[in-house]
Amino acid sequence: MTAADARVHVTTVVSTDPATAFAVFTERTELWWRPEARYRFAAGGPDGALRLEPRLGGAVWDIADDGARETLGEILVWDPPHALRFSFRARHPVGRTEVEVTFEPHRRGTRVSITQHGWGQREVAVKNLLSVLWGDLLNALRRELAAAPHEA
Amino acid sequence: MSDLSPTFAALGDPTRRGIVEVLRSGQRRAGELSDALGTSKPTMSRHLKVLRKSGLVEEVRDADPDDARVRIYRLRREPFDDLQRWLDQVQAYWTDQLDAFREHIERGDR
Repeated sequence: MTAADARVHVTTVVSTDPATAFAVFTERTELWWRPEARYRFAAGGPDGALRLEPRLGGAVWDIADDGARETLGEILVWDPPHALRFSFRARHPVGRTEVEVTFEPHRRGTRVSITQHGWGQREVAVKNLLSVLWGDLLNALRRELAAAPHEA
Repeated sequence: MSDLSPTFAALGDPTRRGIVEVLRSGQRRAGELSDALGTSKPTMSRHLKVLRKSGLVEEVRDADPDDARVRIYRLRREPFDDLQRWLDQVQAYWTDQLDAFREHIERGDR
């Protein structure tokens, strides 16, 4: 396994249809995004609120309390109501990660999944450390965490 | 989280990446490493010094009680534990955001 396969993946099921889930996720982040979430530094997350410009090529912004706006990335794939993918500038380790969000029909509504990957794409040392790590220690841990239920 | 920069920097060299790859399967003598990587002993010694300074590799103490010249090297857990801890944090972050999204939907606010 290589660093190209290195990804963080979380999933849950929400009790609404995919179109509503997609719309609320992408256009109403002010209603649900947690700016104060722990570990935002680790994930390269915004210090403020996340906002998306809802179109292909649209901006991904970090909006501070005072309204100051910083661009973190752009929308790379815009496929309502199925999926979106955006670039997401990570600060540590430095790199241009990507985040993919998918919305799949589920008997109880919609399965929403978030995947972040791409660390070290432009930094060979990071890529290789991740490759070594993924080769032995992490496979079992990732499977275990992915199986942990977050369903509503 | 402790600084992973020296770790990443040490891995910027393909021979050192190769050393780490070999040591994943167990500790090795310096001579075995230079044979495996096709380097001279002084070159291997230099690479091992960089890896030790970065904290990725350590020397096994008293490797051979009958021969003090024998040097055996192994990977240290700590950098990998640090990296694993960071990845767990990233996982926890997105779990938080996804939980927030789900809770909002479940509350019925649109």
